[in-house]
Amino acid sequence: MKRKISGVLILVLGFCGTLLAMDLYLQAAEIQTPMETRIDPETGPAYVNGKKVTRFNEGFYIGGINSQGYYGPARVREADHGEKRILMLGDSFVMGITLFERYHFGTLLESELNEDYESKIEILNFGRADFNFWNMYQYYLDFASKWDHDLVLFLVGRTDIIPARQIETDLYPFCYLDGDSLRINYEFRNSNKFKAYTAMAPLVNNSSLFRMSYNTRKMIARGELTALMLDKFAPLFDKESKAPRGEAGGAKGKRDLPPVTLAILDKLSRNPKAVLVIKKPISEELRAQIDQFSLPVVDISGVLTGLEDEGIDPYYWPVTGKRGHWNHLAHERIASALREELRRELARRDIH
Amino acid sequence: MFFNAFVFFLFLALVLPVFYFLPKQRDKAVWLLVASYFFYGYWDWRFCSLLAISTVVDFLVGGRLHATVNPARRKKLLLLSVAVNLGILGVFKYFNFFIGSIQTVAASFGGNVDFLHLNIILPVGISFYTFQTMSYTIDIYRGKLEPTDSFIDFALFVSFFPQLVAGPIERARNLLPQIATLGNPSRQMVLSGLGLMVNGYFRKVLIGDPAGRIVDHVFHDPHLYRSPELLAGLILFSVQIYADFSGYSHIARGLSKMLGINLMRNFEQPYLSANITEFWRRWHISLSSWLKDYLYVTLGGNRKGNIRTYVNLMLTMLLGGLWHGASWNFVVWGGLHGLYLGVHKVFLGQGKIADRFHYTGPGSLVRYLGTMALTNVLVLFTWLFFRATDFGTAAYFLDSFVHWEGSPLTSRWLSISLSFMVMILLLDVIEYKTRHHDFLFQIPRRSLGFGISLAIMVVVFLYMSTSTPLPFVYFQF
Repeated sequence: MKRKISGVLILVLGFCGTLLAMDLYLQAAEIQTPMETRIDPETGPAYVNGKKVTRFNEGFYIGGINSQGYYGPARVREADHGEKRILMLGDSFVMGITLFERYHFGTLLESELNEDYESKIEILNFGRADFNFWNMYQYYLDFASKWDHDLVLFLVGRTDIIPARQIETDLYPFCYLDGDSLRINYEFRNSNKFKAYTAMAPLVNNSSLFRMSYNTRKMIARGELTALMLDKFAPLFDKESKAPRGEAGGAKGKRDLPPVTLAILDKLSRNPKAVLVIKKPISEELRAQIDQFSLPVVDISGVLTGLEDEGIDPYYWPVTGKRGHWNHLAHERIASALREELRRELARRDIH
Repeated sequence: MFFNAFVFFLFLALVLPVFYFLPKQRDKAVWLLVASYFFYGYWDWRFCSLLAISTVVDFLVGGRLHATVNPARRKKLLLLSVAVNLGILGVFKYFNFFIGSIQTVAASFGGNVDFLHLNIILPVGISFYTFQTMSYTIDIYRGKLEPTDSFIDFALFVSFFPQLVAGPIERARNLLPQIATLGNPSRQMVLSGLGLMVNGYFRKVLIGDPAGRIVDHVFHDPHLYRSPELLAGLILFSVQIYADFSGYSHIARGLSKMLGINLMRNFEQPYLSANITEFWRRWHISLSSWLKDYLYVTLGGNRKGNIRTYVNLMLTMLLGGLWHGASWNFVVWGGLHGLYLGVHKVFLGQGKIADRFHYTGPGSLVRYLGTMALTNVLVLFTWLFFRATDFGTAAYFLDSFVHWEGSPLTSRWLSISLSFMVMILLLDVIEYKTRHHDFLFQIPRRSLGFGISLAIMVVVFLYMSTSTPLPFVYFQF
């Protein structure tokens, strides 16, 4: 009996010790970096300052969060030396961790604009995965606007301005309308989920294995387990793939901008620094609703459709054979298109 | 079907219990044969026909060879076997390569031979089973082997799924007798097999694949990367190819042990070699010994004088390079190794190299580490030609190393590369010291081995579920 117990104990020790060693190896070799995101009780979504990030999705990224808490080179909040600052807010396309920082359209744009202007131009990337227009607005108010800036770009597509869903309201602040007033709800601070997250935070932000487990859980939640396990036999067991394809729901079916989006547009139209950048084509009806406001709008969606017209898929990554975020060429073209548009916006604001 | 796919574990969950349940050798052999053809046909069922042709031809030729005493007729039979096997290999693997090369030459003289291109896909592992089945007829021809009477046993020898697509390239005299006496493995053999598989999966899934993800990006478009990043990419490829291939070999050996069969060792810590000759005794042992026995020796080996020895060595390595793939890059890779081996042979003279490092004082350790580092640098250089898809890419790398351009990410690339290197080195040093590839189950406290193995497999499965699996590098050969 004693021998059996000691055998089990040794097994458990060997198991746990090896997991710990594997976690260290996964981090050192950056096979899977721990989570760089965190939830700040004041501002909600945030990053862990100085965190290394390596990502293998459709592309490949090595970089990280700077000491100020966002992607790209670190810039202190005050523009002390007369630099002109442009903030960018958007989703994972803007965040852009599918390619190295030096090929990100923000970096290319910054160096191109610096060729055009006497003042030093700095571009700060506040893009974040899964953000829609409402999240961008909240993130701008609570975090990004703390940095001195001359322009703030909100890069959006259809699904950003007509969000299909709110991000987890138990974990993040969210925009809502109280009568006609646009407000931000911060009740997440009191949620049990947030308390549980806070307790787990040291593990969440320091363990690669935790992140792998989390990603596996997400993969299972997306219903991808059958395909992963059964490979070629998966269609035999996959009921969903046999179901007839219905009308796509969510944002695709809607023609009108939601009231929260309209309220945000209204607020931004009173901010002289704000510019709305349309990154993916939207319908004329939606554009007309946006144009009701005096918010400057820059449409660069033609860049991507132009590439497609040339027979180039701006979302295709040849190494992995996957489609996803903008590829290197798309970033280059977006930088060039934004350069022209921003020169106009800067000129309107007497910035030379 | 890849070893690093979940569906393979489902396949094993069916194959192993049925195998253990079946009482007779013949039933077990038939079951494994069915499983092997299913395993191979999972990629493309048409590939099975080539396997079957090779099997039938060599089985018949083997039988006739043994029954015939007339030397001329025996030679004809052997030529028939070699012609069929190399013919299949030639058409499916090398036809377009040679035609492409002829086209390039013809184009430079204004000619056009475009019409000769064949639209064919390369069957997985064709080079491996072709060499394996050829060794059967050659050994019978040389009088070193008696043919088997059982077609099922022979068909299983050719198609045995653990080593079908990437070796080890087994000899009939080792594998056939084991197939003829197939039975359930002992408990010790199963444990040893598990230890080998855990080691193999660690190498393949947690070292080879993650390194390979980076390598694929770097080699696909090297213009996007700076000098230290390209160098790290090359180093990571040297880690990837070793972890990937040795991982496959370990898994293959482990699986075989669980089926009661011992396969030969294919790798013996090659990056710990103190010279290039030792490297080739430790790297892809089943191929290098095949090339030695059936090509180098046939060419005359070292029996026809010094010059001829060097020529034979170079020819063997050039053809060994070409065996890997239908590309001039592989020929250059083989040629470089042939050159290294020739130069080392000159320096070595009649001397012998040690099998292992023997510590005789600090000086011996320093000397060993120095020669090991030099050997690895030489081998690393050859990997550039092995991995680069064309000479332009290889030239770009070399140019980038000469015209060095730094990167702000140098320290990151360095630490990533070092982590991979340290991990593979750690495994190798343990194997080297213990002389066991299944060292996890050689630990006196067996429960500790189980605990470690369980944890490794949990991480392997987590990685497999969150990352796209990379095919084994050697599958393409």
